[in-house]
Amino acid sequence: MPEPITSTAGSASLAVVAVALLGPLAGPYVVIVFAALAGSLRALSSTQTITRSAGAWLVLRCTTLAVVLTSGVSEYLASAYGVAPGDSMAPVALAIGALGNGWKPVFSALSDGVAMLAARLLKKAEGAEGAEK
Amino acid sequence: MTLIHEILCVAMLWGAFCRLVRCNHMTRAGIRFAFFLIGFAACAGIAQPLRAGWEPSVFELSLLIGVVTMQLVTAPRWRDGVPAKFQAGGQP
Repeated sequence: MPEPITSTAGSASLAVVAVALLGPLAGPYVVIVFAALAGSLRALSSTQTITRSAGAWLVLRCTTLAVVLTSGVSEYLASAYGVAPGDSMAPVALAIGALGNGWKPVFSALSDGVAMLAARLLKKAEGAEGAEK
Repeated sequence: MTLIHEILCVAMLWGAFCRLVRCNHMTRAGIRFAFFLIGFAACAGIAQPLRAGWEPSVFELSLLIGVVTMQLVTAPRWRDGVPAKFQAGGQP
């Protein structure tokens, strides 16, 4: 990640102020926060929100969740597929933010996958038992 | 220049947010996608000054001014919610 700088005009951007306040780790977190914020706008666009505060609450929830989950998912992608965490952070945060309230299908897909795996293992174990007999 | 760029990006993000709050699943997908892209570009723009040596050009600033002006001018049409033409089933 490039070194953060202030402009020649001496004006400090929000991101530069964040780096100054939070230290060198602020860089990746700024990327995660803004990517998640952008993703949460997709969730906001398809959700029925009555007030701005309700919309802001949804965006805040999505962004916070993305901030919490992104580094873990990026680490997993790095260990499993060799994708550099720096490269995967922004897309992962964007995807998590964009999911918004749509976690139900993800969890049901995960539980379906686990159930299928368990059934396959059970079948394999029964097959092995039958062969022994 | 950077400060002006940041202010314009925040204004653009706010404009997109206010419209997306009004949108729902009945709003035309193209309209929702357009405002999502505007919000996405605004978020990317806010984070741009993190890049070393980056300075906004006059062209980028003029584009931002154009988008923000367009949002300001069309804001009254969104006061009562999504304009009917942008809702599914409305006149295209």
